[in-house]
Amino acid sequence: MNRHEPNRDMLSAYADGVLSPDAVRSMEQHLVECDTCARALESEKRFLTRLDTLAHVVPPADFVNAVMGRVAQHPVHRPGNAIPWRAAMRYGVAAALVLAVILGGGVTWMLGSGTLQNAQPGAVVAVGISSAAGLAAGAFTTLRDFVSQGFVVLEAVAQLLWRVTLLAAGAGWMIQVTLLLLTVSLNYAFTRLVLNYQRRN
Amino acid sequence: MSATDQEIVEAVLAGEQHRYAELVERYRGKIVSYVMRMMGNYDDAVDLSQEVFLKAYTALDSYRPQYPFTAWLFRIARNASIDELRRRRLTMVSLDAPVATGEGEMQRDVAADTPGPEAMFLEGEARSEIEQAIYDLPDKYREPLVLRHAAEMSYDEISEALELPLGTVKTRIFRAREALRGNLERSAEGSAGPTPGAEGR
Repeated sequence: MNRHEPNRDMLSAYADGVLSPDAVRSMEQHLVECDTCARALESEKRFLTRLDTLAHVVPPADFVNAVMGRVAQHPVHRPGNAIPWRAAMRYGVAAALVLAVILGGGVTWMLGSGTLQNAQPGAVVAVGISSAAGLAAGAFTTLRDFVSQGFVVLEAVAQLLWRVTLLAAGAGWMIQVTLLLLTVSLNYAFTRLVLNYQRRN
Repeated sequence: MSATDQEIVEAVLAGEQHRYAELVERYRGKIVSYVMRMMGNYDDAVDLSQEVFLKAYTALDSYRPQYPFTAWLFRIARNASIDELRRRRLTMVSLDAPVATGEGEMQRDVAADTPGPEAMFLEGEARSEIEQAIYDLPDKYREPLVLRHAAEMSYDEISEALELPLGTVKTRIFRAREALRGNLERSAEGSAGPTPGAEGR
């Protein structure tokens, strides 16, 4: 019965105190009966003790003062400066829903009225690319930062509305491409502005 | 009863900058130990740890209190360590790359003043066998092991810090211990006689 290879993972987890209470009970019962595992457990404990010596790196005595000296050169945090990420998340989700409704409605309307079918192919491609760029910018900013996501999504909605209107009015692809370049630049400038504002505060 | 991490963070965000010293005091040992085990050099580890605390202070308003402060802090320490190791590897690569001259490409004949982590690990004070064995582990095993033993973090905190499922963290730690034990046993056998090529059990 005792002739078996000890389960190192289980012994390691037991010695480290991360087994479930049921597993601990069955392990303890087994350890009473099995010398092989009892010896392996002792060896495991010695090994873990040896590993714990890795934590014994002592920072220099002036470490806290050195850090606080550098912290003092930075602005003091003030109430109200914290990122209102909950509000920003709600704002972002609401704006994304509005965008989805407008996007769906816009495409349905364009298909129903024949605008999309009659539009110049270049204009349709430009609308697609610029909308995707707006959404990608929104997604990228969302990953980096909480507050600006709501603004960027709203901006993407505004851009989309603008382009659909121009497309319906028969704007050519040159105008659409110019708008694309203009709005991507504006988007970049706007994002920098928001990030700089947050950093400063 | 000392204040919780969250209470201190709230106080610092409310303008009590000096209270940040309590967090530095509380975690300096763990952060320096962790960075030391990642970087392999004490002086560099102390400098980088100061940077970590400074970064954490400037970014404190992005900390979300529903997550453990340690996990957030260690994520900053981890990113800083990885960036620094990457920067050093790049420095070594760029020094090795040929340089264009009027007479064609030439090799630079200079010594890098920032040795790579492997070299730093071996230089200076004698390293213990276990430290070297840890450094030889692949990053994905070394990181959770160092967080567990050098930073003395719980499995849950490691899971948060590495953004990995708890099960994956446990598996990696157990595999890391197994590999480490194997390396140490082989190393002990190697010093006594020829090292077997086969994987030890």
